[in-house]
Formats: sequence, C-alpha cells, structure tokens
Amino acid sequence: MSSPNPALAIETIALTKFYGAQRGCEDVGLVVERGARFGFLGPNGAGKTSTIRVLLSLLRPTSGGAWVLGRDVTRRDPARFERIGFAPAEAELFPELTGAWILDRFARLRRSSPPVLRDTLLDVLALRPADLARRVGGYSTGMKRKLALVLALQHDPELAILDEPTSGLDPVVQRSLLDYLRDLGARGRTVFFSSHNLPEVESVCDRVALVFDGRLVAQESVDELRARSPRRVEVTLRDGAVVGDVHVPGVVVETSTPTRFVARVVGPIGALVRALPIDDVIDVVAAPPSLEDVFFDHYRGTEAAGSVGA
Amino acid sequence: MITYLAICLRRSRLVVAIGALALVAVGVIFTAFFSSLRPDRNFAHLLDLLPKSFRAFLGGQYVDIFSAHGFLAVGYKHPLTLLVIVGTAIAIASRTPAGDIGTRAMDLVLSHPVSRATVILSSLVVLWGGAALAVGGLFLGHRVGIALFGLDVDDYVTRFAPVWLHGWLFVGCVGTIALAVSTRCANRGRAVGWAAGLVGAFLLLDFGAQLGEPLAWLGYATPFGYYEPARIVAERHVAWGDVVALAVWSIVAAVAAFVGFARREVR
Repeated sequence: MSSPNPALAIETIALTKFYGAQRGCEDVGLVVERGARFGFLGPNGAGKTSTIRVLLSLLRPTSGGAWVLGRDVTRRDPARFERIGFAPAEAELFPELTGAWILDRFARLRRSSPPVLRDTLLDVLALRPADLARRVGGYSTGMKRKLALVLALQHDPELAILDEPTSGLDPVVQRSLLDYLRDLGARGRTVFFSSHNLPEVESVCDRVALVFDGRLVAQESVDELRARSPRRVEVTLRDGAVVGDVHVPGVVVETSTPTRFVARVVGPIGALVRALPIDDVIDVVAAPPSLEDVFFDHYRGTEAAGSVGA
Repeated sequence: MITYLAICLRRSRLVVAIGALALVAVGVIFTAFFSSLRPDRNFAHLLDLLPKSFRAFLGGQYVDIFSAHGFLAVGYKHPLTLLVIVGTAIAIASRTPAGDIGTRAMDLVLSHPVSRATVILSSLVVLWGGAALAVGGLFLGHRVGIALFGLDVDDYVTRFAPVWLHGWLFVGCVGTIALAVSTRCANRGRAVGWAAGLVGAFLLLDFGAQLGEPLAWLGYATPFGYYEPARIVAERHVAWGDVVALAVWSIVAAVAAFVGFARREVR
C-alpha cells in the first residue's frame, strides 16, 4: 500500500491496534504535514504510545494503514531512520556503557546523518562532559531522558517523534527544550510531540490531535480548536442589579449571584453582553480558552458520550 | 552491522570475561583436585557409589575417570562446568533481545537504521565468540593446572583440542537455543527462566537416555546427547557425527531466532 499523500510527514487511515481483546488505538486518522509542530494529546493509557509504536514499526497494525515520510510502516525499512529521530517515554539505556560512548556509537549507526546538533543539544539539555564520561547505570531518570533526547535529535532529523519528552526533566531544562523544539519547527523540521501536559504542547505546537480511550476525538490547529471551544466569561455587577434568566444560544450559565455571573460561551460574546443590564455591569472578563479548557471540554464530552452509550 | 556489533561486544565483555575467568578457575581446581587424589586410588570406590546413569553421563564408560586424561575429560561435562558455561551463554542470549525489550532500550535501537536481522546476527556473533572464550577458559585452566601441579598429561593440547571444539559447538548450540527463547520473551527474567528450564529439560533427557537401552533414543532429542568429551578423549579424534548434529541444532535454533524476532511485536 503506497501513501495516498507522500508529501505528508505522518498519515494514518483508520489505524487500529488491538492487543488481543484490549484496545490500543482504534480508527485513528492522523494527518501531520511536513514542517508542522504537532501535539498528540491524551491522558495516560489513551493510546498515544500504541500509535507511536505502530508508526515506528515496533507494532503491526491490526487494521488500517500508516505512512511515515511517505513510507508504509508495515514494510520495515530501517534506512528510513536516517531521517527520523525517536525518544521513547521511558528507556533504560545500556547501564554498562558511558553516555559519551553511546552517543558516539549510535551516531555512527546513521551513516548519512552526522550528529551535527549534538553540541547544541548538550548545551540545551545541560549535559556536561563529566556527565557523559560516567556509566549510564549511575544516571538519574532525568539524565537518561536527556541522553535519549540527544540520541533522537543529534542528527537533525526531518521528523522527530518525541513521547512525553519533558517528563523527568527539571523546569529550567524543560523550558529550554521547549524553546529548542519551537526553533526546530521554525527550521522546517517536523516535530510530533506526544504529551499529557497541556501547557507545554500549547507552547510548542501549531496543530494538535486529542485522543481519548484509543480514539481520535479532534485534530486541528490550536487556534481553530480554541475558537470552537467555550470561553469562560465572568461578569461583575453593581450591588442591587437584577439579572433575569439568560437564554442566549451558545451560553451556558455556570454560576449566578446578585453581583457575579459566570458563563461558558461558544462564539462571540456580544449576544450575552446585550442580554445583561448594561448599566449595572462593572467588569467583563472573557479569557480565551486555554488548551487545557479545550482538552477537558472534549474529555467531559467523551466521558458523557461513553456513559450514555453504556 | 559492524557498529551495532561493536555495541553488543562492548556490553557483553564483562559477562564473557567473568565466565571465562570462572572456567579458568574451574580448570585449575580440577587439576588441583586430581593432583591431591593421584597417589591414593582408594577414592575410586566412591565412584561406585554414584548412580550408573550419572557415571554414564560423565562418560565413565569411555575412560577411567581416575586417570589424568579421564579426570580432565570429565571436567568438561561436570555439573559445575556446565553450570558456568551454560550460565554464561544464557546470560549473553537473554540480554538481547529480551533484556533490551524489557528495558525499552530496543525501542532506541530499532529507531535507528538497524534491522532486526542485524540485532540477531550480532547477538549470535557475541554468543559464539563468548562460547569460544568460555570453553577456552577451561582449556587454559587445565593447562595452567597441569603446569602448576606437574600432571603427566604431555599431549593435553593435541588430545583435548577436539574436546574444545565440541565444547564450543555445544555451548554455542545451547546459547543459540536460549537466543531463540529470548526473541519470544518480554524481559530478561523471563528469558533466563524459560531458557534455564529448557536446558534443564534437555539435561534430564540426557540422564534419562543413560538409564537403559530402551530409553537411549532420548539422547537424540537433546544437545547434551551429542556432547561426550570423555569419548573424544578416549577415541582421540573429532566425533564428526556429533559435530554435524550440534551444527544442525544450532542452525535450526538460529533460524527460529531470526524468524521469531522478525515476526514479534516490540511492546
């Protein structure tokens, strides 16, 4: 099966993976354009890692298709990893070897992609030569993660697949890594970034896919997703103001007291403002929805659908 | 291939070194023990206390176990020796791929331009190289012991070189079977457990084959049945039939390892 669109970095069509009766992912259709910074969001156990492992040919799909850089993942082709970098969510690197030796030898495995970014990455991730001279068996979790990230990115891959890349890193290094990943995207590299940490995805990615319980529930740009998602509008009123029932399409009142009114609003807030006693309004705060709001909005929707279905 | 092999070799050097050194020590201990027994043959009656099948397992029907050649030949199939050489082989075979799958290091390896066939081929090279060194350790230990304790075994090198060859093939064969097991296991602990259990079953089959003529056919169903150091020492030449049989066992196990790892999912 050849890719319907070889210009894409990643494409999956109805990708499904079951482990016996247990669902890994089901009917996942991802479209990741080259040069995109793509967030793959979902709670733990949602199917993110299963999808990634199929993309890396570590697992065979139960049904559906998947293509990475235009190549069918079911055709195992190790040469494609010259242009791909992968950092797993957790990996115990070879404890009997030093970090420097591992970096050097793994770089040599990619004959046509020299480790041009190694020094930059060591700087970004605050890995010192003294750290690299030690055996990996003595590394902390964070150090092992840093080493895995250098392994994944040192050859400046066209496509970086990063599974929970910031877990185990201290906040300073996390920020430094996220900045670096933004730059990577700006240089035309594709970053496929799996995480359950919403703010970090929001800070790096221009497109996101949300996955719950093995299924893809949304896939669009961060801005589109926000525009479709309810904003939280808080209105403060003068003492003695009278607010009647607000029946405006797209507005769901969350709390209402004589002086305070909180609603979730989809779309423009003009209709809501017009429905209020405008002379009594002291303040209106309409915060744009964070990705976190979007995430939980979808999450609630999916859970509700699941409970209705049950 | 070469770079990945270098990684495998470097990772296994400690296990191989420990196994080989342990076998040097075992070889020296055997010669030391024999030198303490030599003047007094009264210990020979102890041999009669051993079960007949165990004496046959050691090769007592081929050599006088209390001769220098016989004693050293038995050393190649003594349970202590088997424990160390089979332990070394299983330790190497269980590390890759099962151990690396369990620690997720295999994810990193396979997300580089490394084929699954390369992973298995490199493991086989390390395994067979390690087997050669491990059995060579016993060979060296005997030589050192002979020199230290002045045993009268002047023709040790020529007479025991075929034993080393058989030993190498036997350990390589057992290690390759352990590797085939390793390709189907989710972590190192399981690989060690299953491989040790399988080798134990092979050992029991070989014991069973010694119990009497009606059960002799069991010897064909285990690699132990094709490893008779005492017979090689007695006959002074390579037992080519056994060499071919061990080679066939090894090839079948290697094919199973390649196919098993190519088909498996790395979870």
